[in-house]
Amino acid sequence: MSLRLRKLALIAHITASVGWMGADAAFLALAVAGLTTQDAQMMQAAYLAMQVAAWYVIVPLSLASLLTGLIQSLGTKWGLLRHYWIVFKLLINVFANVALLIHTQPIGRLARAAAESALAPGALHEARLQLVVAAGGGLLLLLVATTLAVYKPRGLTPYGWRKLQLERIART
Amino acid sequence: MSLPPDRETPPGIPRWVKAFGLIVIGLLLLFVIVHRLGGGFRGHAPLEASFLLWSWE
Repeated sequence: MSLRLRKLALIAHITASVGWMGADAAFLALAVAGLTTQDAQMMQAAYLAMQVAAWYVIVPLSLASLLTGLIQSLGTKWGLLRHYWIVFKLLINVFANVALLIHTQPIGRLARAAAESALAPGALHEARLQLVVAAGGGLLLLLVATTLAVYKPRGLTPYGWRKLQLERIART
Repeated sequence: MSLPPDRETPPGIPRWVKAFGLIVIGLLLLFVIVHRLGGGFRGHAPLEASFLLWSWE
């Protein structure tokens, strides 16, 4: 990739990833509000807003983060499987995306119950608690991924080491 | 990016990778156990994601 394209891909990846983290933090706040409030209107508003945020902000940003991360690594010297920190970031991103898609089901169930005004303060407690744990866990994972991206801890995978040796041989 | 010195054999796995790997395995086990105890993934995944979870049905 040319330098200009690399910068563009990097901006897209940072924007999607940081946006995902911010949206997840807002989702966590709504999940906590939905779980703890005794006000029926507040609860209804929280779960309806969570469904909209999940489908129109969090899912698109998470998929964009994965896609731009793949472009960023495969299109530069870093590679996808050469460095352990990139492998871990990939695993975190894939896991978080799958977990997010799995949790769209309880989000939808709660939003439907909220729309039908059938959500009492104690109803569907397990699903409501699950969303708080999932959003908190997701935020933690994204923080770990951000830390890895900033510190870039050393460590070549065996594949990365072999590629490096081949490049050295080709240069000499 | 600084290149590591030449050597005949691949470098060993860094300590931070081993620690991270153990944490990842622990978290994955926790995720699976919590979801299995909580009624499993049945009726939990949307259609779009259910192909990923066929083995749980």
